[in-house]
Amino acid sequence: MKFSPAEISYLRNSLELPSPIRPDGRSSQQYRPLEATTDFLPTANGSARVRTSDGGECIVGVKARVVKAASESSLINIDVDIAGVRDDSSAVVLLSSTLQTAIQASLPENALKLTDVYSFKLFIDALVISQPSNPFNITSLATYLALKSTRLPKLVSATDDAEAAEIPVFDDDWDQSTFLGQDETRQKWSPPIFTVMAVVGNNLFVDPSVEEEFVSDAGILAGWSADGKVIAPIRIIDLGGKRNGGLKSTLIYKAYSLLQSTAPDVIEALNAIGDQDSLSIF
Amino acid sequence: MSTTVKRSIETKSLSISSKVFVRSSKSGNATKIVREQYLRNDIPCSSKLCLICPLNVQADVNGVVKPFVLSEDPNRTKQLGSHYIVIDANIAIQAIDLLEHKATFYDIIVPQTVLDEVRNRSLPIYARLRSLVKDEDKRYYIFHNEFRRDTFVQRQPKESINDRNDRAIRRVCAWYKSHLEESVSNSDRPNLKILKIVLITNDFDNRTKAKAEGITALSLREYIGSLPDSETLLDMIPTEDQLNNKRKEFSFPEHFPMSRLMGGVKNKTLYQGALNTNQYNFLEATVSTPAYPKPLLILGLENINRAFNGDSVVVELLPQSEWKQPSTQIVDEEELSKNDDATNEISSVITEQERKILGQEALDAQTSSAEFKIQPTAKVVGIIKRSWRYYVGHIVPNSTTSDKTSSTKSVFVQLMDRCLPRIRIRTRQSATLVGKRIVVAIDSWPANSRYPEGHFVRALGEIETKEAETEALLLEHDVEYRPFSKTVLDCLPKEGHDWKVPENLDNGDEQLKKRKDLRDLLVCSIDPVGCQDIDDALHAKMLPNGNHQVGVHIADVGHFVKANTPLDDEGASRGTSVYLVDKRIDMLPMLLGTDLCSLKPYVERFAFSVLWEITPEGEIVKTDFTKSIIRSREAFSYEQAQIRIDDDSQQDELTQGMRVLLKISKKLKQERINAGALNLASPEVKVHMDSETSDPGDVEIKKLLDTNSLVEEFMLLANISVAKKIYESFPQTAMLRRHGSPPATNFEILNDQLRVRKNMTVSLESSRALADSLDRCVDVKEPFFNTLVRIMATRCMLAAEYFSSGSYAYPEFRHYGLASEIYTHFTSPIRRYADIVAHRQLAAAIGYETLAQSHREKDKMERICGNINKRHRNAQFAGRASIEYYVGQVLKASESEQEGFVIKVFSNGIVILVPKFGVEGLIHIEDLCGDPTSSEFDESTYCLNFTEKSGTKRQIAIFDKVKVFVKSEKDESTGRRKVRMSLLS
Repeated sequence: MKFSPAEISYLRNSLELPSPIRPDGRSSQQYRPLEATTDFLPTANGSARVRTSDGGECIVGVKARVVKAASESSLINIDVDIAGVRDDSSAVVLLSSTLQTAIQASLPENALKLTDVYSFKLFIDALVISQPSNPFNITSLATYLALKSTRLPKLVSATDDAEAAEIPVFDDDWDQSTFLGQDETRQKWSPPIFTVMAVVGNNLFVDPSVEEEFVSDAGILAGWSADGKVIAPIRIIDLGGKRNGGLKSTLIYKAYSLLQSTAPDVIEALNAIGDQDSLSIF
Repeated sequence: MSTTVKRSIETKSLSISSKVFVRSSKSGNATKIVREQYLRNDIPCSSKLCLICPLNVQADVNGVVKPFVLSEDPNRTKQLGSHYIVIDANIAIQAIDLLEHKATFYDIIVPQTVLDEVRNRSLPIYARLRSLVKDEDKRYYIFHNEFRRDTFVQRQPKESINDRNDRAIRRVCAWYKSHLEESVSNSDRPNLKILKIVLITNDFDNRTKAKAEGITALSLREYIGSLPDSETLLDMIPTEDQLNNKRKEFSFPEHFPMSRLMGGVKNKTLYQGALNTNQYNFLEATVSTPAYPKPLLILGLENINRAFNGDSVVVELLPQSEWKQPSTQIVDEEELSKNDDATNEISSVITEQERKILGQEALDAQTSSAEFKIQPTAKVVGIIKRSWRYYVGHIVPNSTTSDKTSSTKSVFVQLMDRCLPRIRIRTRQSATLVGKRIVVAIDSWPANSRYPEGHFVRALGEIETKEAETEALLLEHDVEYRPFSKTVLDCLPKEGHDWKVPENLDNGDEQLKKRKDLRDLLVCSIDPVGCQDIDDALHAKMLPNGNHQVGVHIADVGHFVKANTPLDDEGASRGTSVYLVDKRIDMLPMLLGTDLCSLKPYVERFAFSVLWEITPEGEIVKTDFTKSIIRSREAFSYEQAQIRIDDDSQQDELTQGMRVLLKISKKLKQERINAGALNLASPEVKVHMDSETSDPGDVEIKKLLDTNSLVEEFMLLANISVAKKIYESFPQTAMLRRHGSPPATNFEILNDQLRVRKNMTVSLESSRALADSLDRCVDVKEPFFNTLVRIMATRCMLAAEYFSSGSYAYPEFRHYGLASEIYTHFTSPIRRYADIVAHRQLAAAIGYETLAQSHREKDKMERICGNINKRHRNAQFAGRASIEYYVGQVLKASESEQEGFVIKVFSNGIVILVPKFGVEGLIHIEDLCGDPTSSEFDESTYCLNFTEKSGTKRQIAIFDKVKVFVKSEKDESTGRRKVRMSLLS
């Protein structure tokens, strides 16, 4: 996207103000409206589709397969594909490795375990169909929703197969399947989410638009776990802005507190979508 | 590119539903499956009473509307009035015999839900149910309830699939009821009867629910009870579960769950294979598994754990301390109760890891030669697939009381197959059934019952009547002997016996033009006396260059049996004709076999000819294949042909030709023997029938003449030539026949016996070495000894088998016995289906016609081969059993003293072969000597030392020639006539 010097100047100035004005009138901790659906792929264990008002779209499907736990290095495999971007580009690698590490760390230990030998392995496929601004936000939200809707078939064969080998057998009723990470109290597990914030001067903006990214100094990526903590990695990312140079350390504190005030609302809204199991807008 | 068939369906009558379920795969994966289902409104009820459905019904793709099936005037009983019946899947599976019964069960509605479940649980019963639906008389209708909107039911949360299916079936009943009521009320025919819909289910819960919903529901027993003359039918009801619970006579170990079996087989701690019961010892079985070179031993009733001979089972190795030698005892079923020594309770728990080590030790034990007699033993822990079928047997007389009342009694049925246990059935007719051959089916074998539970199917007739025994042995060997159905007979030429080769060969028929006119050749056939189905004929002609033209002409069955017709399907499923002593069960209808295809003398017939140019030295210069027309000049018997050849006064061209054939055949045979072809003897016996009464009169061993081998050599040559040709044209799907070289382990015992007793060996390096070493096994004092060794060697061989050429690599095509690289069957298409396939492939290879799809696809060919291999084996067994039965009948009239040879020695008996009758007999130790305990069995030298009743000491060893007194005796416990031998000094 090309901007004239006058546009750049206007955007930069209005965002640098002590009480900044975003081009679309949002507050600095407000997300753009988005539309999301869960469980829209009938044959996947869980799935979600998120579309943003600027035309971004991401779909995520989660498939579970039975594997021998000992022979797998990781029980979660995440594959991100961004339309028009090479698979080995830094944005894709960062996105998939960040999500993989964070999801793996947050998933309860026995969530995927079936028997002493066998375990489920999750294959998370995220496809960013179009995304004018940074894909991190939308992919993270779609993955969150997909994992929330993921259900695993119920095991009916014995679980202690260390002594005598058994091939797992499952209840044929899909309704008997359980949500991923669901424990005895039927409390559902929530995966972490990630937020990208654009830095302009001393201000931070959640979910930056293309214009905001263009005039930003840099971006800050931070994660939020469902139990109400900011989680690693908190890092500076390139949002394609032309300005380079260091960031003030106070901005990190600011990002921290901004996330604390935004993330719980986002999670709540996402959970509402998941519970309704259908189309929602917020 | 895809095409869509558009059908005019009102959108109103369609809606979509989907169902989601989880499928557990064999490898342990769980897949979520989503099925979309289109629901319609135009699936008819198919009742001739209905006035609504005929208006809505849609024609199928061909524009045909299926006629309605269910009668206007259906089943009627006093209590129920007129009614249609709805059955559930368990009724179909357990009581298919009843459903097939002609006396009852008409107008049956089979919901699709039921049909699908039957298909998943038992394919044979599914096929029978399908054929019932085809049978117009029985009026069975498959109602596709899953696709009709009114009857489709969605699975509810927490509902098991069985409950959902039961609910679907109840919905069908309810829908039929209201639908027919509505239909009748709309009609202007006020006198229409209101029909009842009766649900038959043995599920108590389902019946209760049905009654609550206002549906008439009965158990099978209740329904049969409401019929007039239900006496015989009641016996056919399968045993119901509650009867078993009371018994606590015995307790078998529970089988492992399927998940455990699959897991164990996969990680190689459990082994899967077919169970094979030792025919001399009912308590000993073996399981051949891919993991071990030799079968694993299974000893004792508890370790066999309810498996039947032939079942596909999963076994677990027993600890090494329990490894044993195969028993050297003869154990009959009757002795079972007192001889139950092999109850092995393992108290120690073995871990998976230890099991793997045990597995290696078992392998070592089998391969090490020093101690080859200690065998790893195993126990059955699960049954993957039952081999259950119909069984023939008779009621054990002392298992029934003498009172003549018709109350239901449990009785035992002793099966003809000695490898199988007795079956417990419940019958009201025990008094009338005693002494008859009866057919029973097995329902289940609960863990707490010592015997399997079954039910009576039908009676064949008195024991030892010819009809009953013949039918029994056909049933026992799974031979289809019912007459050909109408659809099959419809495929025959309309002209019937008047069919003739067209006189004008240029009548515009392209196929006819491709035939070579060979009517001028002097063709003749040589067959056994009285042969009607003449498959083959021969000719030899001098060529101008001094070589001979030799032709083998085979009946052109392919001309009459076209692929993918009902006639072809019937032939493919029968696979082979079965020859019994007094009866022939044809593979193809008589019209073809004995007339139109048969190369009868003096008439013109279509043939498939193989023509060679052969030098006088027996070298083949050229091979040709062609469809032809021939006229056989004469049909000889082997004896007649031999006499004619030997008679020097006969100098006509035909006889000259036969002499040439004989000369060449001897050269061919010599070449074959030089290449290492085996001559394996088996005592072939012929039973002479008294022509008037058709009672067996005498037994003789078949004589072999030069003319036998003349025909044989040229047939072998034709088969080999054709095999090469079809393999060249169809490298992946050619119908071939192979004979594997026998594994050395098969010969271990025979070789040991030969070494110990006779200081001889049989070499297995090649078929040539085997042939030579068999030739060397000669005992100067005993001319029969060589034949005896050959007979015993034959039993160590593998069976030859049909296969599709894509299934094996070329080196494995080898026919070991014939020492030929490649081989097929081509020369007997009237009596073998494999030959018909070879004919079609050859016809395609020479460009005569195109080859049917089913002979060009590898998996279809494999299916065909699997079936004909099975049929072929069964036919052989049936033939042998028939001979055995008749030999028994002959011996009934004539008891005599005969020469016999000891072929097996056990610690408590010996088995003797009497070459004159080709029969084997067992002599128990009790009959050999006065005091069985004084006998001593020396296993290393295969001899048995005992003191005769007269007091003299005697030693009997394997291969010994003995004099025996042979008579036939009816065995009261098996109801079978057995050859009874007793040793003479």
